[in-house]
This record gives sequence, structure tokens and C-alpha cells, in this order.
Amino acid sequence: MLTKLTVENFRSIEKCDVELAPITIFFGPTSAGKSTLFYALLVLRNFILNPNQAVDGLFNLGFQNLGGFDACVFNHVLSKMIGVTAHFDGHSYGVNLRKTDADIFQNSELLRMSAKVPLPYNAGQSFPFSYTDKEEEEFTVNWNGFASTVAPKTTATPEAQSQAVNLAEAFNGPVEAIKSVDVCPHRRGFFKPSYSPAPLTPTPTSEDEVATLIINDQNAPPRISINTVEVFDRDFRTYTPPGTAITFLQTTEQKDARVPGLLVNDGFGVNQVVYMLSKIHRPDVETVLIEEPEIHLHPTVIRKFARVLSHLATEEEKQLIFTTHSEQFLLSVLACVKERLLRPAQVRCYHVARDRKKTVFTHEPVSDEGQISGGLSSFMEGELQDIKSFLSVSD
Amino acid sequence: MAVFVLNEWLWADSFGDNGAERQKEAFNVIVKLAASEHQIVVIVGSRFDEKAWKLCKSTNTNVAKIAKAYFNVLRINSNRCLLLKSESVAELPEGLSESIKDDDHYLVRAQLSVNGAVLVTTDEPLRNVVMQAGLNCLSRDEFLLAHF
Repeated sequence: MLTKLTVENFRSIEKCDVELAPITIFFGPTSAGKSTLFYALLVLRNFILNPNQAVDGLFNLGFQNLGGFDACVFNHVLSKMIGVTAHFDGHSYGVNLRKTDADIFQNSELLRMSAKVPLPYNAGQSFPFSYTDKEEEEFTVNWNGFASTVAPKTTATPEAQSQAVNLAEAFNGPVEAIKSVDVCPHRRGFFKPSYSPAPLTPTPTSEDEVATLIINDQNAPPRISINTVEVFDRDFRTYTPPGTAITFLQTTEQKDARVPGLLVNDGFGVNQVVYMLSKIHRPDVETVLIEEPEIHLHPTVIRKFARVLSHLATEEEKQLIFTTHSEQFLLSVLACVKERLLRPAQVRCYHVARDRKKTVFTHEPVSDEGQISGGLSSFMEGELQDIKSFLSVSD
Repeated sequence: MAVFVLNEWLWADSFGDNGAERQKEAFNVIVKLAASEHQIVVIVGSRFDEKAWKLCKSTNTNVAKIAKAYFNVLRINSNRCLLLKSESVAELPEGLSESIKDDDHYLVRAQLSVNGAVLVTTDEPLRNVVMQAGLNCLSRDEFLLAHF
């Protein structure tokens, strides 16, 4: 699980260290910089997936092109480097990007590795490091900035070979974890009745790609359906007419109408939730970044969805990271804490605000009674003014 | 920073039972407490909580909005609202127990559970008993005058 994200000089973030939990929620005003943290992680992921491109290409996230290095470096100071580091238990992996080169570093309790590479970088260089374990066995670690191969330096006993495999797994773990981060951007949903399997990009966010994720995983529809029944009382199914390569996405209301229909004809909120669940249930994905899960959802549904998400985080060991403008969503997660469905340590909340040019992340701890430091005041600023008007209260 | 135990006058005023002016003042108390350094003490599930819940269910828009403001800026705010579980609240000493109405026991128990807490009440007899016991107590008007 990602335990912390460090970002420097990226968009409105000058420097931040944000610790993460199974459920992390960023809330605050529009344009405060909540999504910027997501995008920073996706830039790091882009770099890992394809370093052999000019630096500007790394800022094209697939669903959104952020405009390149010059547009994204903090305060547009081109001499600064953009740094993103992902931390895991005992490991961290990061990159400092400049216009034409990058510093890559990977630190762990076992070994610290770093390398300076040109951009574009074809990952063809090998940087050798040495590691000596507790039994005084020496290993050579060849690292290209992303993947490590490990071999015993002298002896090749079965124990040493086995240790080399374990070390390689440990050294390659952070990069693999970053690769498997997924995102549900604001722009999402299904707008067609049926889909044919489509080629998948590294960040599958288009409706065809996400539909393909559902079609290609026979376990996805039933898993999604269990959750849509919990949230909307509607099941979710796919139907592929015999002899065709097209798949229809369908829902059926369980209690009242019981009329099967196409997902595209159901409420857009149902559509949204299916999209998000299809990402969360991906077997190869542990961490999902979700922008505003509440979009198009009624408050009652938001509450149920928050409970489903809490369950997925705790029982399915998914790490879910949200931005939100919904006090209802935050309140529902806090209610899960109060009801002991989540432990306070499983939830981290940050109020995100702008201080002139900079984004400031303030951790708002959650108590075991579901209280949050600072309350939900930031959602209430406008509403309090309206209540004052209704009551004719002067300041 | 002070810690207050508020009597249910806050809810009577918020409901509008005591007129529009008192309703405005109740709203102001909630908003200004949230913006202050002070805290309130609430026993989870107490009559105070129950009355707040009644407020939340009100079909009167103004009342429901005041309830929402209370909940979002005070009750759920760990910096401003000290929640006590009923099982961990201090017991009343024998003398006090007999001279305070059963319905008000929870207020004084909450006060005794937090060092230096000040009871704010509109109930004169309760106020007299509490002050005679050497505890801090303010009337609603004194409280508004001193802090708002």
C-alpha cells in the first residue's frame, strides 16, 4: 500500500508530504489543488511506463493533457525540478524531472539506489549496486532505474539464489505497485448500449476501455453487481449475443420494476458507479484514485456508496484515494468510523486550500467517535451565509 | 479557552419557541462557538443530543438549517465538541444528586467530568444548586454577554 506521497514543484504544490491510509479523502474549495496530488502520482507512473519520451509527454495523462513541463512546474520557474516520490512500507521510489534529464531514486532499508538519466531515456543503462545480507552474502544488483536483477556475487548456493529472487522482488515491488495505480477521472461513464473489446492503454479511462475491462474479466460483472444492488437495488449484467463480439451492459431494478434495461438508459449515477466499481474491482489494481465519487449521486446513494467503498477498502484490501466536494460523502465515511466499520487509522482526511500560489494540505484527524478536527466547516461557509440571510442575522 | 456545558435552551431557542430574536441568537452562538477557541461538552445520546436530533428532523427550513450548522461546525468538530460516553461520565455526589432534577443530572455530570467546565443554563434553581456546590455556572444572558 502507498503510505505517503511527496510532491515538489508540481502545479500549485510547492512541497508536500501527504501520508495515505486505506481510505484517504482530500476536501476543500474548488481549484485548491486536490487533484494535483493525483496527477503527480500519474506523472510518476507515466515515467515508469514509458521513460523513452520527451519530458512533456509525461504530463499527458491520457484522459487529460496537462500541457507539458513548462505548464506544470510550480510558479512556471523552468529551472526548478518537478519531484514525485511514492513511499511504501520500508521503500520509496521517486523521480526528479527536469527539461532534459531526471534523477531516479529508490530507497529502502536494504539499499539506496539513484541514477541520473537523460530524457528521453530508453531504460537501457545498467547501474550496478552491491548489497550484503545478514549472512555476509554479497549480491550484485543491476538496476536500470526501474527494474532490478539480483545475483549472488560469488557463490551460487540454492540459498543465495533464493535470497536473490527475494531481493529482486523487494526491489521491484515499489515500481510494480506504482504501475498498478488506477484512476477514475471526473470525465467518466458509459454512453453507448454495447461495446466490443478495445485495445487497452496503460491508463484505461475511456468508456470503451473500461467496458473492455468488464468484458475481459468474468468476475467483474458479478462483483460489480453485488455492489450496485447494495447501493441502488439494481443488479448489473453483461449480455453477449451468440456469435457476436459485442457486449451489452445491463441493469435490472430488483424490488419494484424488475424490468431489465440498458445501463445507458439507467440513471447517470448508476452509470458512474459502475464505472468506478469496474476500476476498483480490477484484480491487478490495489490503489485507485477517484475524483469526486459523489458526482450525479443523490445524498442517500452517496451514503450507501461510501459504505460500500469502506467495505471494499477494509475487506478487499483496496486503497481508495478520493477528492470530494461532498460533505455527505465525508460524513458517511465518518459515520462508518463511528459505527466501527472503519478504524480511525484506516481513514485520513486532508483539508486542501490555497495560500496564495501554494496548495496547503492540512491533516484533519478522525476520532473513534467519527469526529473530525475542524468539523465540516469548510463545506458550510456559503450555507452559513444563506442561513444568516434566512434568519436576517447580521455579522 | 473555556469549556461549556449548554443546557437545552439552545434547542428551545433554535426551534423558535422563544421568538425570532432568540432563534437568531442561538444560530449566532453555534457559529461563533465554532469560530472561537472554546469547546462544548456533549454526552453521546443524552437529552441534549436527542433534542438536536429533533431539530435535524424539523420540516421548518430555518430550524433544519440551524441543526445542520450545529452538526457540521460543532458536533462533528473534535476541536470544538468534547464527546463523552455515558458510561464514562462522572457520578454526582450524593448531596447534589438529590437537589437536582433527574432530567438535569446529565448536565452536571458532564460538567464534573471536565475540569473547569462551565454550565450555561436558563434554569435558575439549577444554577443556584450548582453554584452553591462551588461549580462554575452562567445564565444564558451572562454567557452571551461575556462571550458573544
